Amino acid sequence: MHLTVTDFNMTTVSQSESQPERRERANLSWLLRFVRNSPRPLVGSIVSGIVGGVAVIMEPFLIGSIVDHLNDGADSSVILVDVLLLIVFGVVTVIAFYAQRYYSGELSYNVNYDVRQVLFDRMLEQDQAFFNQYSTGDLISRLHSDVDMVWRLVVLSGLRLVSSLTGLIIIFILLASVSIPLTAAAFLVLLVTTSFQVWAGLSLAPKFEQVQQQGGVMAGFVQDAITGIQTIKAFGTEAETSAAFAQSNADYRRRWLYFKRRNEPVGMLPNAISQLTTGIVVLFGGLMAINGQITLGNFAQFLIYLGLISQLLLNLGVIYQRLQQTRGALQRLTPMLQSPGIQSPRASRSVESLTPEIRFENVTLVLDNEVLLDDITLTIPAGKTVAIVGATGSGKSLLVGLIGRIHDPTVGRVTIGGVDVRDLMLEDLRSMIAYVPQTTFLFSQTLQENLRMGTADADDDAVAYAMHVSRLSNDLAQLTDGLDTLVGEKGVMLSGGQKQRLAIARAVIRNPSILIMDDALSSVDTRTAADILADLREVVRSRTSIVIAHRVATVRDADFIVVMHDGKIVQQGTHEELVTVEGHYRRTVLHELQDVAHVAAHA
Amino acid sequence: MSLPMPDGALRPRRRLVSRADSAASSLSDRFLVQMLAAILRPYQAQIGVVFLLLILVTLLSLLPPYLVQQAVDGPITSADPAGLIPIGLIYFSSIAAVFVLRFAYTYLLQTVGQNALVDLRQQLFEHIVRQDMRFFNTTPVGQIVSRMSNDIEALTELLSTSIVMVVSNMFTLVGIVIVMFLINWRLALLGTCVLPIMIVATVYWRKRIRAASNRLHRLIADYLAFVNEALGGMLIIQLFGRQTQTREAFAGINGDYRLIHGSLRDAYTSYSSVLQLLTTVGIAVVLYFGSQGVIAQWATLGMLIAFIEYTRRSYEPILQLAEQFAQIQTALSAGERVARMLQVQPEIPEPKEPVRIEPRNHGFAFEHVSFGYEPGALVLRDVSFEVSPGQRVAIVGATGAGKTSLAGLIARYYDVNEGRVLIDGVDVRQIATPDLRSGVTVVPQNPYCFHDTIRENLKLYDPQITDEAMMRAAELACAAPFISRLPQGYDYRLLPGGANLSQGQRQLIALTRALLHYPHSILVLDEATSSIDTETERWIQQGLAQALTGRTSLVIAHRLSTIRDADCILVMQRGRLVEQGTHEALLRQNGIYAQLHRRQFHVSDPESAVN
Repeated sequence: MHLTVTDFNMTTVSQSESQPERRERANLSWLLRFVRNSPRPLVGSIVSGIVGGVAVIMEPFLIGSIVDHLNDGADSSVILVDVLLLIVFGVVTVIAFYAQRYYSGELSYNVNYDVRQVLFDRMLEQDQAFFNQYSTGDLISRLHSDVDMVWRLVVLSGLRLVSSLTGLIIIFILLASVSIPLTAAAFLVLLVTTSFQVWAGLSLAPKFEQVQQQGGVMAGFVQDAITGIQTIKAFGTEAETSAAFAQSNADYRRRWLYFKRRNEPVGMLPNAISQLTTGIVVLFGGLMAINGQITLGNFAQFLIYLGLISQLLLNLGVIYQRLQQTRGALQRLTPMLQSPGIQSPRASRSVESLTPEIRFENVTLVLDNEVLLDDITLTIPAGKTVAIVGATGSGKSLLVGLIGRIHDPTVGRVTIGGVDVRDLMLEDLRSMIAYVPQTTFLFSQTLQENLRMGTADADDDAVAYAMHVSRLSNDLAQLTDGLDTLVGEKGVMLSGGQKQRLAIARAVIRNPSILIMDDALSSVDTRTAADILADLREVVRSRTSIVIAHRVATVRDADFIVVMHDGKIVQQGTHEELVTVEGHYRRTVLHELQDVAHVAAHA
Repeated sequence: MSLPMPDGALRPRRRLVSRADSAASSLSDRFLVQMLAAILRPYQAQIGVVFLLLILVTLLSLLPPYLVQQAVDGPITSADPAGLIPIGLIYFSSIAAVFVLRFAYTYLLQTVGQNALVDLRQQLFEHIVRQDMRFFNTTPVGQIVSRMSNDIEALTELLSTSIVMVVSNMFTLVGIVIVMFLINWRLALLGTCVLPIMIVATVYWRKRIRAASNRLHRLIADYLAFVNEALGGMLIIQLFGRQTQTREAFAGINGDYRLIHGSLRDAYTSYSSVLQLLTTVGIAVVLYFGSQGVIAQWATLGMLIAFIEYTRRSYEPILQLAEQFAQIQTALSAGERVARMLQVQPEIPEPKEPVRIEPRNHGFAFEHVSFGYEPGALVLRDVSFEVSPGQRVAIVGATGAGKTSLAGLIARYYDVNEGRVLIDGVDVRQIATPDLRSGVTVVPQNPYCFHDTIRENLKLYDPQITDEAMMRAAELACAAPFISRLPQGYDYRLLPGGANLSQGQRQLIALTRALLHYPHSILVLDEATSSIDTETERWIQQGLAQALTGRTSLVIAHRLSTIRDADCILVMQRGRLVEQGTHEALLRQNGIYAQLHRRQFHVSDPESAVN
């Protein structure tokens, strides 16, 4: 089952609607920056495009002259020269074409590589606010499908743009030198149809976008349903889910057909128009040839050139259409490149000499216009253990998340050793902290690799110690490959408690100066939990630790206990102090006591 | 991360094999063809029409060069302007006809293709949803999503564009060659002399392009899996300072991606360059020897012009096929993956003669049950116990003792290796699935919330559940207070997985959901309140005590309060049921439970607590 670790933010609404997308020009300009990053293939594809454009034009020209020579009754040696020239130009065309493919490929793969790398780097830096705004499925589709569309645009332009433009210009000059009226007529027809095609392509671009969007909706639906499959099975709602999917599916079909039925004729038009123009040339060119206004060779040239022109115009049209279709992708990628809200400061303080004393100073956290933490002031002295208790949704996780800058406070500040956490390098700050989140995320790696990800250089003793503290050592016998057992999404089934204990081991092995455990023992049985806690007390004696928990047994030995309610600290003190005052904590203790008393009475 | 290392080499690693992968070996192309044939069968008539139209179009589009030849050799050479008119008329009408007919068959085919794929997508979705939990545990979600979207999409291209392209190109090629030979066999021989070389080149490069495109596919799958996992675990990556390693691993895959792209490009470029060169050579041959023919008068000038066009057109289908190669290859391997997925059968078969169970409070029993997720590693060993209707049972035991696995067997998420699980005396393997679903409700440790409103997350799209019932259940489960504080209350929209709720709130939702459906089902609470504070949990228990009167339930919990009132407590240790009985009886027995109990009793030592 796929677990999320994003449950720090309790009320997130997508901000994408409210965030104005940057201008289209800005979208293209970042792409051009990436293109300019590979100057060699860029120049290569332009140069070979020009050469190819020129060379490809020579073929019909030579064919025309062969026809003329034949018509004039020239001997075969003249024709042989023409044919040899034809082959030479053919070879030049092939070489230029090869170079075009090579360089445009190089260019687009570089852009593809760079864009993906930059995007992924950005992902590594983005804060939780960002990840709450975009779902994983959405991000993956942007990081893959949208980037795919972008590089395809680049490869297409690199391959065809320059050569098509060059070819068109030269053909225009050549044809015009033979017969201006015929050229004008042919170009006019082709130009009109090409503009129609481009216009149609433009007006269909939003329809294409709708098809893409519905595809995304469907993929999201499948991801959601399959991740929650156990619930679907438990309540036997397979049929309802399938029906909901069918609706989405039908919607996709409708949009797809709508787009295709309009797009297809537009796509077929160029071919038909080119044949139509050929017909016109045959008729009028034929008449002109009969009247001797043009030679039979010119006639043949026109025929072939017309085919070429419509091909070249079509190429340009396709590039333009592709650009329009890619616009959506560019738009979706632009916000991915924005810099993260939580960053390292320019000038940072060293963490070397910091004492792990944590202070929250008048901290308020507002997310999506909702006050989630309200004016919290709290000092956790170095080397102490503080426990945080409080009802579900009272802001406990959010509060401890501020220390490692999962969120930044809206008002107030959080300091470690007197230094604002925002003045520390993120890496340095986080290297001080070991964090055990509420839901455990394991990577599809071996148990050992998951364990060692907490630190780069743990020796075997450290591994053994972490395994012991978390009592995972007890479970090793059950696992077929011991420490090398594959866990995570593709790995063996670990129980909820085993996963949590692995997360604890992962934190312990870091040997941190600040240990944060967010309800990290909830799935561990009482007895094992007690053992772990006893050992952890040894581990944390020299460091500051924060424990969020619900059970009295887990929190009562803390140096002091903080009670939260609705984003505020409502009580704090030691266990002994708090049990004497009416409040959440005393009630909790009394509930557990009643259990014990009840048990004791029956024992 | 379990992905290519920066040097690009994949590390061999033992991994659990998803059934969707392992079925590969037994799959042949035949199954793919069968699958395509099956989804297209309902549209036989339309497809027949498409092919008729296709032949017609091919024939018609062979006309223009022939007409040009007629024009040049006839009216133009003999200076007869009036003679051009009938030729022109036929020409234009053939173009118009081709346009209309092509549109007609494309329209038909795309409708058919899209309908067939909508069917296939639905079939695939329903097929996947029917699979058992073991399938979902070993098949990454990303893989399923990719089958449902990317692969079906690739098939759409195949059915609605590529197949027609291939078939029409074949027709055209054959048609042109025939027409060429009919007009002038000597010129035809000249024009077609490079065709065999082209075909040989095509066969040669097809293999290489196919290999590269398969590699590209596998890499994309790795890429997607990597990104999926990295995004899912991003918080851990950031907090544990693993950005550099993750970045390097990503750069490794990304670099491989570029490399394979490059080799695909190289194969393509050399292939199409060879084709292009052959085209030039072919035309040069026609021109040179054709000219000799015109001089020697075994051919006319009009024929030569027409043949230049025909020769070029005869190469076109091959060039187009080349352009379509990658696409067709992609579609075929996508189709193969979809076919493979469709071949996977649930390991939990539906009963042949399902037994119905009455909708009343059920009793259930385990008879010598042994069970393991993987062969050779048993999680439960010889477990036997019996629960009568209306009883409350609790399971205790250390983590990893097999409690959750036991709970899953009642709902038949898995089938036992040995022994039997019975509900009302009937083996769960014989109970009709709908009855089983309404007979057992499991509330899991980590409940999932869907990307929808709270209301739909509770009702699960069941239109028969009223808002009143929903709110009553929310009150009982103590979810009502927090829901009412949300901006839109029950209409508040959750993110996928319920990411905008806390873990405790998700558990409250799951609990409400369980109380709302199937009032007679055996309620299995698997640490269902572990992330909820003690005070709220207290209220929940009071609510539950009232709601569960007379209802059979099984509770897995670590907290004393949840366990002690149970009619029967099962104590599990390393997959075995070691003790069972009431709280008092077990304490008297002075075994593991009593020990466990003393431990907890000691830790929350009441005397010192109140003082």
